[in-house]
Amino acid sequence: MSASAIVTMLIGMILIWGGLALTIVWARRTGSRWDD
Amino acid sequence: MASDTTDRWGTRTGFLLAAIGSAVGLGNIWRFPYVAYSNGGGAFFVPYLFALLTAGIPLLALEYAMGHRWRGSAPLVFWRMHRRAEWIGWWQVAVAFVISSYYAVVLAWAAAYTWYSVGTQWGDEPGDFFQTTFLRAAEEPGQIGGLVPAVLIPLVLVWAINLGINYGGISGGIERAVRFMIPALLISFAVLVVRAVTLPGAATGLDALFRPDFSALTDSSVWVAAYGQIFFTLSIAFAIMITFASYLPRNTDLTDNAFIAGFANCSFELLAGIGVFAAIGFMSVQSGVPVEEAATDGVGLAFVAFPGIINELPGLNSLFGVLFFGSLVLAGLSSLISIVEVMVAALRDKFGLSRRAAVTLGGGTCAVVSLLYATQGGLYFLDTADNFINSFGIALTGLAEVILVAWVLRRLESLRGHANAISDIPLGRWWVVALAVITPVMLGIQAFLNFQTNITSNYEGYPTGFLLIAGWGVAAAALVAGVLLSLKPWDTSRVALDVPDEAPPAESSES
Repeated sequence: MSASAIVTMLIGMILIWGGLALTIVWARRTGSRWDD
Repeated sequence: MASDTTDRWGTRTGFLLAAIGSAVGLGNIWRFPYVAYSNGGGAFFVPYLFALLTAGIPLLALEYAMGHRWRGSAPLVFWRMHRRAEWIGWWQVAVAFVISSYYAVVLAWAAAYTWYSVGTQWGDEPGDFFQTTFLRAAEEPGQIGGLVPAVLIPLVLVWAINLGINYGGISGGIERAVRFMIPALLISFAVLVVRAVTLPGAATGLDALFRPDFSALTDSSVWVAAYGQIFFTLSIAFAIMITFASYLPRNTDLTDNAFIAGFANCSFELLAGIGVFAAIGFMSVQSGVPVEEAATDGVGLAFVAFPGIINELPGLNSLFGVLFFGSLVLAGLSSLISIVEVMVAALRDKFGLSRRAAVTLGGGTCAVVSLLYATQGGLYFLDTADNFINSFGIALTGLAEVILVAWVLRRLESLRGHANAISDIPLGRWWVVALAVITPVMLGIQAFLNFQTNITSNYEGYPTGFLLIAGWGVAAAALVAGVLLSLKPWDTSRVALDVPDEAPPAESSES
């Protein structure tokens, strides 16, 4: 795998999976209304 | 009416799993990887993420806000928004009807292939097996032929499971089902991806997928492809998210839910891209065929390329096949139950039917229509209906929806206020700009290109007469059905003209 492909894959993972993790953490931190 | 009954999500997690399950479907596995690969590889993530943030998540938040504010099925929500807007809601319901009728058949194929995976029963020529042995496909588009038992039997099973879940209602049916299906999908697909990336040649496939071609960013067609992918992957514009949001309690977050559902869907797509291209890289190295020739999408990827890949595996071939096709079944089923729920909610609201009657009538009619796609000529009808209902159903209803809300009725500001009153992440002015400018422009371009492509050349070279009936005719029928169904007056003794945009109640009342 080329270096540019590895870097792109890692950035994609960080942005997309990191974005999901961030929104879930946000919901759990501020989830004051209707929660489980 | 549907929204005033006891139908409610039991938990926020249940709603989110259902919304994610609806968005995560067959397209995540068989469409996204090839779209990314053929539109700049790793560079595609730039327009893709841009489209997610400027169209995908804003549209999700819009539909959550609409369903939550006007509390009902899509026709009822549009009717409550404006008395002459109801036809758009029914148009979306009709689009959902068409999609569910053929989507169930693809699920039936996947269910059959889960069984065929045991002992790789497709043999050494998966292409021939799929066309000739399994589908017994007709030679010409338009020929119907008889029902194919190998498709019919799993199709009956798919509908039985699907309608059984819808009979169970929201918390007792859909929510309970997705609490099993989504974790099972994630686990089985994760196992599959781990196996795929450890195969010899996986790096070749991943390199092809992720190697960035930044010159593609100056190509407008790449940006259109990114917006198209985001638009079609999130289950927006055919009434699902409006319907699902109407079952939320008054006091719940809308905006963060839209972010979570949007990112979760794209997270699964990224995982699917890694798994699919690692497997294609393995196939490429094994067969000596370059990745650019081995890479494909859609039905060809799932039912021809993947059986070929499974044949070449050094071991545990059957298990890999069961995981792959089982994942397709789980991903598709969690989407199909949401599409059927769109019809169920609309029939209940408009005609005052019980849930049982609405599921039987709506889902049952879909099941009967789906028999057409289980015939020997079904593949041609399915392929054509899919192309035309996506191009002229979903894309145009989405365009009509944003133009109506943003420009004709000018409801974006009030919906922004509604969402912000109960959500953790406030929607700023960017949300209005995204929906009033960026989304309609990109959808307008998409619609124009769809018309241009399908008018200047016959889809897949199929005969014009066949396309007029199975393609253009189906897309037009959805619109006509939408208009006709909106002509029947509402029973205002049963359905309120509006619901008050009340302030969120105290926390304890909705928990």
